Amino acid sequence: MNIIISNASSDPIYIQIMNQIRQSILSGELRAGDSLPSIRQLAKDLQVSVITTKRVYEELEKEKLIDSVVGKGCFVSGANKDFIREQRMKRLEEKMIEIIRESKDLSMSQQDLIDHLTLLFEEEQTT
Amino acid sequence: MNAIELRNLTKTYPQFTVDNVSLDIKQGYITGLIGPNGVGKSTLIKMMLGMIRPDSGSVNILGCDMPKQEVDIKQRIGIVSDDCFYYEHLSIRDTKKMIAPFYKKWNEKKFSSYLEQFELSPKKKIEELSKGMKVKFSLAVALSHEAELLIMDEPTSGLDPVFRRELLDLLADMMQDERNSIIFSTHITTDLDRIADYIAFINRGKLVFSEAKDEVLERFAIVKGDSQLLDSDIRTKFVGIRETAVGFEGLVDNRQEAERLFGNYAILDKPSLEDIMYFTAKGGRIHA
Amino acid sequence: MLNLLRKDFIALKSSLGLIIIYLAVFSIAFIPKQSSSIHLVGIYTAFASLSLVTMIDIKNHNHNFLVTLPISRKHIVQAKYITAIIFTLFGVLASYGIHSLVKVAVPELNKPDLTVMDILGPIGIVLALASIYLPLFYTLNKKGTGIINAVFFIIILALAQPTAIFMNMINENGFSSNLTLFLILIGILLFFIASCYLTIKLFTRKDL
Repeated sequence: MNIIISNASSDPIYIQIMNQIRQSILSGELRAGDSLPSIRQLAKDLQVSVITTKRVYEELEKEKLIDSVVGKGCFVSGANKDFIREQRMKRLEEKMIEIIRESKDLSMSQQDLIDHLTLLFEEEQTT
Repeated sequence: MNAIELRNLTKTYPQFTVDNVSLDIKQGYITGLIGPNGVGKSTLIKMMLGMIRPDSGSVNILGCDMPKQEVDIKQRIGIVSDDCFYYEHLSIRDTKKMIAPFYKKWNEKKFSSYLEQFELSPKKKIEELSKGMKVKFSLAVALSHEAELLIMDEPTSGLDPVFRRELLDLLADMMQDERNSIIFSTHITTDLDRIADYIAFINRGKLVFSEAKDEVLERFAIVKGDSQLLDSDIRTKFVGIRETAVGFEGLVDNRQEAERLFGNYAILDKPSLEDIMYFTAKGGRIHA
Repeated sequence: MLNLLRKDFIALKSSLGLIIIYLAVFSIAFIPKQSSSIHLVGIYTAFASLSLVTMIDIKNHNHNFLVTLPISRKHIVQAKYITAIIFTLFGVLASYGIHSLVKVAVPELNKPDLTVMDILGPIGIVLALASIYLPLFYTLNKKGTGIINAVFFIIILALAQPTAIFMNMINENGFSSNLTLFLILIGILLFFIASCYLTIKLFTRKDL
């Protein structure tokens, strides 16, 4: 898992870290049961405040994406497979909406888009 | 639990006064004591160390009373400063021989490895050390007696940028144990602020605020815009303002209010600690 | 406490030669001319050594260093008083040793016979001086201590003649006034201890 903090970003540091960890979990790069670095280790590695990393883990725990086990550290939650799937579906839908808007700009009909998608889908499956 | 508890500390000097300062330094975290030069940071630190006796108020370090349990406290704390006064004519080795027997938990192995890491030769005399090297030496001493609390007075002022980054790692290493705490004072906002959890801001002998750094940075905002926006009512919202012929730049301590107030008429920026320090010192408005 | 004494002697390491030189210079200066040279050599060496240690401390802002270490200010002061006793014994006994040698080696100088009083007398005088000197050393700042060292040096120089007379008087009276002498020594000892307590009180309250 890579985390990159940008000073140029308008997002606060904790949001940046949170987004990247969430992304890693939702994308499947981190799987249920994988352990995450401890709050203090992550703070050291990123050279940020312990409070910042603590807040990140607390927020992610609220989203039920990670579990923290006292004395053992934090793990990617396995209890919430449906939730993760739901989240990923939501993201997929967002992207689809984007595609629909884009196709409208190109004055494609619904059928055009479906046809195009089917074509690409088949191509993808054969490779 | 708090690593340090200051209660109503007052110390009056002819030139200035440390005025009724109460401050908690939390255990397990790094706290930065910031403020312009000569506003009482060093006096506060010296009172924590029992070097200066307050006129009134109390100091409690690691649950022990200063000065009653001064010796116990000093076994458990490390002091880093660029004016730690060692005997100038002695070598590092002799100075270590002098210091080590005082500590119950002296770790000779750790000490030699720090000397190596900091590229300090044991044969070097104290008078030959640069300011930065003296800080490194006192850091080596502090880290070699298993200090639970590190008190650093202006530690980075004599350090080169390369070692400052290394220092961040050393301090973060110490903070892997959540029972440990660090407090440092500084008048320049350095890269040390990156890892600070809490910020206590001192100005003119008074505590302006003491809170989590992230909260401070989210609460304050820099507003930039046309000087015509400033009427006497609006001015009171600012902690400090800098006006020029081409506009104004000011600090507000309530970002949301400023967003409502200025809408799209002005630009709101994230402040740095330096901005906060500059405008507060300039404005001179004190608020708890 | 031992660590503090160790500290003083580590700090002195490179200056130990200087103390030997003090001893030699005072011996050469006084032995041929002064009848009471045994006392003067002892007193001068002891006090010069003590002010050497305090000057090294002052030059290096030693108090600011010591208070960072886990020791109480009380112990810092007590250790310095013990250092003063060690130097006193060293100076006086070294002087006694040198004079015993001189008496055998150079009989033509006609040095008087040595008595216990030749040891106790100078010890008393140095301790009395230290009792006045040390409280000042611990309460004054850097500049003040420099002045105090100079003042004490002048006092000691001025004391040479009275010391000689005083010691002669004691020796002439012989054993008849043993009790008075004993009482004076006890008095000085009490003065020394009282001075130590006073210094602890003053130094504990001082801002560094």
